[in-house]
Amino acid sequence: MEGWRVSMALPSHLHPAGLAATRSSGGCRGPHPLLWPDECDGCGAMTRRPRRVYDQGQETDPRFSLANERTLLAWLRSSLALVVAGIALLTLAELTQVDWLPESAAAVAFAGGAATAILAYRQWVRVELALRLSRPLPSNLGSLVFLGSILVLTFIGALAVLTSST
Amino acid sequence: MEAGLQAERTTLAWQRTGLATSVVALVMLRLAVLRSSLFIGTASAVVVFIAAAAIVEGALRHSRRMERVQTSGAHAGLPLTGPALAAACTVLGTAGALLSLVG
Repeated sequence: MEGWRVSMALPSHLHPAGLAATRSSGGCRGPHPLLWPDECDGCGAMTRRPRRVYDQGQETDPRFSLANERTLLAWLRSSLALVVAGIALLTLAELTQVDWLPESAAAVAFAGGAATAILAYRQWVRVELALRLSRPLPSNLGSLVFLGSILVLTFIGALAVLTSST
Repeated sequence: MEAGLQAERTTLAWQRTGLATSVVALVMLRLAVLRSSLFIGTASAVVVFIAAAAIVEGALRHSRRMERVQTSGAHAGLPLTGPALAAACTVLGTAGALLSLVG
């Protein structure tokens, strides 16, 4: 908020046009602590990001948006679980004689984790848009990728057990 | 009251995710040090910083979120830490894949 008062002293051409217009209409809060412009109270114009989401449709019940936010975070934690599995497999690889199997399994887990995180954010955007446009909720490609990674890991695990017993 | 609980749950979810990300990033940092990979070590350190920022930002944002929901005002919007955390998880996954493929 202090930062905003300072920047008000700048010449008008230095202001991002949209931001200046919103702020001057009164009743607005300062920019977000992490420079992600926040919503304004009481003045119609919104400066929330990403614009491609908040520029469209109508306001939703905030509880739905909060639930969507929590779903994004839950998917990110799932993605971290795959990364942790990859780390465990890498550590395991140093303890075994068969070098390629655990390492390739780790690569699958890591790649699955990275893809799940990207798809989680994509899904947040799609769900928020569907809520704002009163459309049916979209299906989630992320869940398919997550499931696929776990299936491949299980397959490699079964292969490891079978080859080690012979 | 129910709406207030929603905001509370969301804040807790942020804290949980931030904490989990920072722990995984710290383990990845250790792994990078063990394999003396400067590139992956630096990336992990940046992720630790992002996760810490997400926790602090989530705590700072909590009161605003409560207020919004109780006055049934608009959702305050996804903070920058949302896509930043998603990017952080992607970086961790990619870093791990590099470690396991290149060694």
